[in-house]
Amino acid sequence: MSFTVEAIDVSVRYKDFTAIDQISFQLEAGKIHGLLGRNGAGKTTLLSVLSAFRKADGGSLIIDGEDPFENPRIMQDTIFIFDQQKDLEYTYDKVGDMLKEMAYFRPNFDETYALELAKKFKLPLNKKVNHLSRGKKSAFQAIIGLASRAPLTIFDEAYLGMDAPTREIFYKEILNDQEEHPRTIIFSTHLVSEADYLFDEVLMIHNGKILLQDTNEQVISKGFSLTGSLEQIDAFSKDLEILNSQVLGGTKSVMVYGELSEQQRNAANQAGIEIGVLSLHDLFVHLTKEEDE
Amino acid sequence: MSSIILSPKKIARLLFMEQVKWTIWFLSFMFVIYIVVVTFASGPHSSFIDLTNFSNGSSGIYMLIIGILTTSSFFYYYMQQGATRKNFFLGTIISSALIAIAITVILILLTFILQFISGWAGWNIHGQELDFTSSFSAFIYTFVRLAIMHLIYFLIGWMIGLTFYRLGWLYGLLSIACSILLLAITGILIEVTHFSFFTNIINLPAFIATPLSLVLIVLLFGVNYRLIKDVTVKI
Repeated sequence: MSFTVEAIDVSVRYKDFTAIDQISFQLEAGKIHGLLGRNGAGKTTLLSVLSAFRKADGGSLIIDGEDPFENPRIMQDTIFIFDQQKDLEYTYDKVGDMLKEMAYFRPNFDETYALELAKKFKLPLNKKVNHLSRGKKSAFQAIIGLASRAPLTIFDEAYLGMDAPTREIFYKEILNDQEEHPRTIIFSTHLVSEADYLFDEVLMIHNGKILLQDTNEQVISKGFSLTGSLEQIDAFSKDLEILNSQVLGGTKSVMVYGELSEQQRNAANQAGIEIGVLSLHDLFVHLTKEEDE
Repeated sequence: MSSIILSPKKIARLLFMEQVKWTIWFLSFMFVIYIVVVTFASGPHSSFIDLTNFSNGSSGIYMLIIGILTTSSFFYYYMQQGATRKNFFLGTIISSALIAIAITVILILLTFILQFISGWAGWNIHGQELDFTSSFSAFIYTFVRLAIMHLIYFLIGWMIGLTFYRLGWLYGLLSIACSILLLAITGILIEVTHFSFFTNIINLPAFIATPLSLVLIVLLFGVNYRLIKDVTVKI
């Protein structure tokens, strides 16, 4: 089972600061959605609203056909995993006991899978949670998030403190288990380059507004780089949306966002301009760049 | 479709099981302290108050403290497990009423047991302002008053914790000021508390005081529900 999400003009304000500014989007059920945004873009605030931890100040939110706020059915089938290092400092129960306890609360929790994951993440079951290292605490949370198999699963930078190989295991597990037990996953991150292969769809937010939402392939297909001589590039790219440009001697390289028609491609080829692809990471960095940076 | 797991009843049961553990710890310490004190203070030529009178005051403060802790420890945890605020609120009401009764029952039971063995141990234990041994009606009256007092103390603590959580330290401090006033009112309504600033001036008969304390409980329910019903879970 997996939930669809529909937000219409959702806003959240903190006193005189607007954290989420009338945003609207739809998340398809059973997909992995990458939520990208810089520090302070409003990611966690948005996710708090989705998980009914916070009431939106305006607009409406529909999850699986209903308003999630104070909705017992939606809330028990939504799991929100966020950085809880501090709270886990005061969790004196053993890892194994805590994992078993989750079966009490989450309807789809799979204990066997949780124990299997604990083995993969090398998490000692008889160690107390507060004695775990930073990375292992994150792994512990990731296990709860995965094994709960909640129809709406939200990971908000859940990898903090995990080393690169552990993060790799985490990403692979998301993909594997998602395939067997489809659910809607929202994966918020700013480590875009290493997690981009996870995403079916990408939702980029900036300063509380939606910058873009599309399938991963579509987003990537809209970004490309052009490299050639200074004059050629300047002439060719004058009507294009340039994200970034670099000049090295007589050679210029620009990053462009938008569609390139067949004609334009041919013209570029004839002029000897090299067309390259941009990664999601490049797009993210340059699309969210501020004027003064 | 799966049924709702964290219903008020389920939350109440889980909370009660946890709080009973805390309460048994608290009462054990209380008991040990009492035994030590009574061994020194009581003898053939002097007497000492019974356990219920002795721990009255500290058991109220204990309820106040677990009320304060409810928000930071339990509310946050249950929200992460997908409970709704309303179900948590209802579950807490049930569990707090049960704890208030349980702590009263255990205290009175221990007092009876101690009375029973006091003759054998050579202690001279007597009741003070709380009388529950003279007649059955006196017992019921004292029992109800103690249970209500414990519940009110819990609800006041819960209100303080919630105000700090929801509105920050300034309103939190204000809620403490408000609580002192409420404790004073509780003192007037239920004379068993040690927070009774005005008992010498005002003396309410039971048939007025008991309904008024129920009104106070309902009022605290209302305030706490208002504070919790759309509170933001801080992360």
